[in-house]
Amino acid sequence: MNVNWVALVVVVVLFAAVTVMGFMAARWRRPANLESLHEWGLGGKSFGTVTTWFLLGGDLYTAYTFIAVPAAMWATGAVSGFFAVPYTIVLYPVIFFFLGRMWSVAHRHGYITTADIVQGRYGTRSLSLAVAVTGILATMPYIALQLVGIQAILEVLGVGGTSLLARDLPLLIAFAVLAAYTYSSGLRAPAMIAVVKDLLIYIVIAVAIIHLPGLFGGWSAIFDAAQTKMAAPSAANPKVPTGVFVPGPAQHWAYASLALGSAMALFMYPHSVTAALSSKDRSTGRRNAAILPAYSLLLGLLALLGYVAIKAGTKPVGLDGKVNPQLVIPQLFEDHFPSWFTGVAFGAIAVGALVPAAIMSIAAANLFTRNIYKAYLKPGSTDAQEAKVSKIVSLITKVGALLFVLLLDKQNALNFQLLGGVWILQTLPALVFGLFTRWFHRWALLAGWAAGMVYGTVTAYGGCTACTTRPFGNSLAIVPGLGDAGYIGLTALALNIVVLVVGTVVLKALKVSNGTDVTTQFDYFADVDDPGVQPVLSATEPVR
Amino acid sequence: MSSAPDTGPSDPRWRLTPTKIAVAVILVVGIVAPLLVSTYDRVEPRLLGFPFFYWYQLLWVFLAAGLCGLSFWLLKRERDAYTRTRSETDPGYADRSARR
Repeated sequence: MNVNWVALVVVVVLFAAVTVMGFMAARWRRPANLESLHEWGLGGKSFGTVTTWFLLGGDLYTAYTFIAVPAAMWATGAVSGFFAVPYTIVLYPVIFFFLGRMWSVAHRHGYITTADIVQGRYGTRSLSLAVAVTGILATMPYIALQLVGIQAILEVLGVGGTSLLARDLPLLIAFAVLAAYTYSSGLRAPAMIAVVKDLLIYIVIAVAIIHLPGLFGGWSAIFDAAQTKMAAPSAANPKVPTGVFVPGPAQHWAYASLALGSAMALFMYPHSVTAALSSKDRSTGRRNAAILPAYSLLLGLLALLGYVAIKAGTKPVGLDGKVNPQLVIPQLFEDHFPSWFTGVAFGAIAVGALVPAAIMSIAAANLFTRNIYKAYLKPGSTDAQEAKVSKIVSLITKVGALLFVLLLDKQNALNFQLLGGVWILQTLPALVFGLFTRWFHRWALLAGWAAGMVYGTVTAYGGCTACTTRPFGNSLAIVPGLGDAGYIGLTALALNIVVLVVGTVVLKALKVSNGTDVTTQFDYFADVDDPGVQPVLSATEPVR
Repeated sequence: MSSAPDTGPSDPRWRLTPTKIAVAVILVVGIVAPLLVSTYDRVEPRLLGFPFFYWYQLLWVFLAAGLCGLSFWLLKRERDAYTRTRSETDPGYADRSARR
């Protein structure tokens, strides 16, 4: 085994420092009592613009940014990788539309999860159950993406072996430590760590962007090398080129739909909603929409490191001797940075993958505890029982994520995030449309969700065009009626909305009851300190 | 939960205003323009070695941030105006809002 000891030591030291911080975070702006979902899960809703910026950033830019996107750029170019740039650009105008209303209604009624908001608006338990189940399911492949990222770091460091236990042990230790302090400190831990992590990442990116292109003849030469590689015949199928340097007309919709679909999906995920709701007033989220794009620039430059690796001739070969694109960025760093700085970079990436993985599993566990366990299984459960259920569910979510890692093709980890998006996008009409109008009918929402889920899952399962042999190998499929390939999630959402509109018209004509709405128009504009508005009202009670 | 004692079931802020329409237009531009791939699917002109396709999209990072900032300012202006109007009928309202 060829272990890079200096880098490994730096990684371990960084990880230990972050762990100590995580445990100390419980004392940060310490509340009288941390034992409530409001304090633990939302940090007491005390986060201002700066903290929210780091928290959202730490939440949104993950192993996806550092590992998966550059890997996709390295392997097949723009359509499979660089779409992440327009994705993170249109993300902010998209969330600007509804973030204010979502925060206000959640604040007024003490909602913590997406399913709470839907339950309050429609008073329909089957609909909020659908939203909760979808949230948990969609989070799993997203966590899986983080696991792939951490494994890539460890593999390049030379840690791990061929046996199942040796390969996964470092990963399990890292995860256990993180789960422990997250459990004691709640959302305060990732919020605090996110600040440190981001500073480290910025240093690493700055060095990588300034230092590396110069080594390989500048950006012109790098782009030329990428263009040459993408135009060369593919190794798997010599009839088609390796990848796409600049998308041609047939690929425009694929590129745009991947970007738009990902952007609309992101703020449906339980963990992003948690981060957005933890801000202290209505404007914080929107103010952040104007300053978060700084991360998008970073993402774009990171994506281009995939091209830098092409020019540098990086060979991402795993411990098993096979080429694994996910290793390309860690390998590039190890080849061209001094060992100690490789350690800093790897530490930053590893923490950057672990923190969101923790937030994601907490958010999914909250969703289960609040909207499934307490709403259905045991309405009169005690706080202690809920805590226990949360623990178990967050573990189950991680095991589910592990299944995704083992069963699906790791070659294209970016696909994990897109697969989660196919599912989570189907909850958008119930959640977002409801913030603006009560016109849509609850059963039509449920029918639309079901139609989108079935179409999306079936198409994604069989829709392998790239072609890896495993199921769920690709996120693009020919759009019926359009003829070009597009993101399956967005096609499924379109189907969802058609069913929704037709269903609503029919159900309204039949005068079927549309459930009870406990919210008023005022709720969607409420801010802290408004008259008649109290801070979180019933965070410990599930919405019935 | 407590109800809102000083507003009925309808809220004036629910209505569509010129400001809201302007903001919606600005945001839709910020969403649609970066997705019109046909407007930037070319290599030339290059900038600092970056093909047009790549630098144009990175440029949009700043444009989108600007559009969101502009929207934020417009909505804040409208909200402040609403708070002022409310204060004339409810003297306590401004004091409570001023603490923000």
